[in-house]
Amino acid sequence: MFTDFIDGPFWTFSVSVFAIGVIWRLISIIRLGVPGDLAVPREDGGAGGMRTILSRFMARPAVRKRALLIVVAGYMFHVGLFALLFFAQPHIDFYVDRFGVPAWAGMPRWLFILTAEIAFAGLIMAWLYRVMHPVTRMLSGIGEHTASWLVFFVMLTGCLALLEQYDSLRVLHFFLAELLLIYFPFSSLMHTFTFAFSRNYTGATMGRRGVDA
Amino acid sequence: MNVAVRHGLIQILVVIACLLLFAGSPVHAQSSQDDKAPVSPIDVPNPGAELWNAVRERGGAEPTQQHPLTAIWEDVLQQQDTAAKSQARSADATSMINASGDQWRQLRREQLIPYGGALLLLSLAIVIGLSFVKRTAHYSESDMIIRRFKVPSLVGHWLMAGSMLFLAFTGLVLLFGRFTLLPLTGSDFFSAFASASKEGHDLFGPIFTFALIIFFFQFVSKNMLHYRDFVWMARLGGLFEKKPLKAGFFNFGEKTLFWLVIFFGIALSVSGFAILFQNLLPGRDLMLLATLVHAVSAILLICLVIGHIFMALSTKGTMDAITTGDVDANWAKADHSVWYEQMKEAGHIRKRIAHASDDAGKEIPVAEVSAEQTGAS
Repeated sequence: MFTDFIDGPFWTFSVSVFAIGVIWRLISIIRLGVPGDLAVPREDGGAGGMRTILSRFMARPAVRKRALLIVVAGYMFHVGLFALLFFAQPHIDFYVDRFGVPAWAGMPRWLFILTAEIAFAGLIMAWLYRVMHPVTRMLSGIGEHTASWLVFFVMLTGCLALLEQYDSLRVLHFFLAELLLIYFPFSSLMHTFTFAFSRNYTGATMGRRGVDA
Repeated sequence: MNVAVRHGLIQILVVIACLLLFAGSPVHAQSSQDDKAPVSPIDVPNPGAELWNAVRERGGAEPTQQHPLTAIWEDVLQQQDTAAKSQARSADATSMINASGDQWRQLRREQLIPYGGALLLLSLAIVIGLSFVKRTAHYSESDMIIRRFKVPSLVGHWLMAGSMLFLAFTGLVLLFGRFTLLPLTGSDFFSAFASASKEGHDLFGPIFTFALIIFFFQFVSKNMLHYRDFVWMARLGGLFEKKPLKAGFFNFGEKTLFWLVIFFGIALSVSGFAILFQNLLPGRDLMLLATLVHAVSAILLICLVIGHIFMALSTKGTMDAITTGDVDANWAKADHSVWYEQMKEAGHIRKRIAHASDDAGKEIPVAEVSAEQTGAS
């Protein structure tokens, strides 16, 4: 019964909350608009925005020097999680089954395991940095910690179910993933989508003023 | 802060334990009951199964009642050293049967598990017993602090500690679970629980190795032996003396722990990778040896870590060093006097305030540590 609930109504509910919540928040941001700029632009704002979206993927030299650990850990986690979400064969099979999308090539199993380990090490180091560094510790609230631990437990339970022979382990992973979907739109995890908006805003504003941001 | 961090870590461990416990939840029991719908068994002759059943019974059967297949087993055992031929070129391809596997199984069941379990319980009993001994603070708090560990060192320590605790928990389930948990929980629960533990153990093993390498390079320079360490060792760390012994950044006890952790960590990592990639090993015996080395190293390391955790939690001021990175100046003066003097000369003693950068480097008197206070430790 619990399995049926997690696989059926709760899945529908969590995906609905995720989709509606994310769209609602993005539309809210877009509707805020930008203040009018009456000055003659020195450069195209769109180009500046795109340049900043891409250039901010590289940490600035000062940040690399002073906080190399968090830069490396951040990349390990984010790239690893992206690869796991979209190129782990069990996930591809799931998307094909649930959404009816055509299948695509997944990672070989050894790479899947290696990616999971890199993502885990990155997530743990990033969280430890968050609680150990006096500044990030003060900046972090319950929301950041909840997001970190929810993602960690989703990843952990997914790896515990790697043998794919126990339905209880799959259901546990699925249940936590659904909780994450519900929590996502109301949390700082929204940076998955909003990072592009904020970078574009900064880049476009600075671009129009002729500043390389 | 310390209490909050400690409580937080305990809560996280409890959540992990609950998640693993959920692995054998009624969900699986329900599904397995559904799977148990009456299905007529198909009688498939399996000579291999008969042989193994006979092998299992060979110890208890009377010679007159001995299963005829047992004789085959005995013959094979006697001829195992006889050179055989095979088209296959894989490891042990010409070995008819590997008797060392049976010896390994007996060693594991009759020596490793009971003695290993006893050693772990003894360590816990010692720590619990010591926790009842009243310990007074060995220094008085001042308003001055010294930076002992930078953030990367804290992260390196906790990455290794966290992965090690997870591996210890899942490893103990795999080693002792069959004899301790299975009778309590039943096979439905335990099979899922053990499977989750095994997958988690395999996954976090390489993370532990990664953390061990980082940890080694972060701390090795501070753990090289010094002549004062031999004095510290000869005088048993000042255990029976009122005045604390001179020590640098780490004392001899801490350095010993570091090198033992590195030694057992390497043994665990090498044997762990050998088990993970056992098909690449040149022979089966090496894999059996790797599992024994892995289990023995793990048990000894867990015993060490139990003592380490007890010392960290029971010695006032020690947890501050590894949670905030800062220690009280008087703590440093009492336990690591040589390092304290170095910090004092370098002007690295600062006030205990949130943003003390303006005061960094200013020399402010630190309270003297009394002989009574230091002798109490």
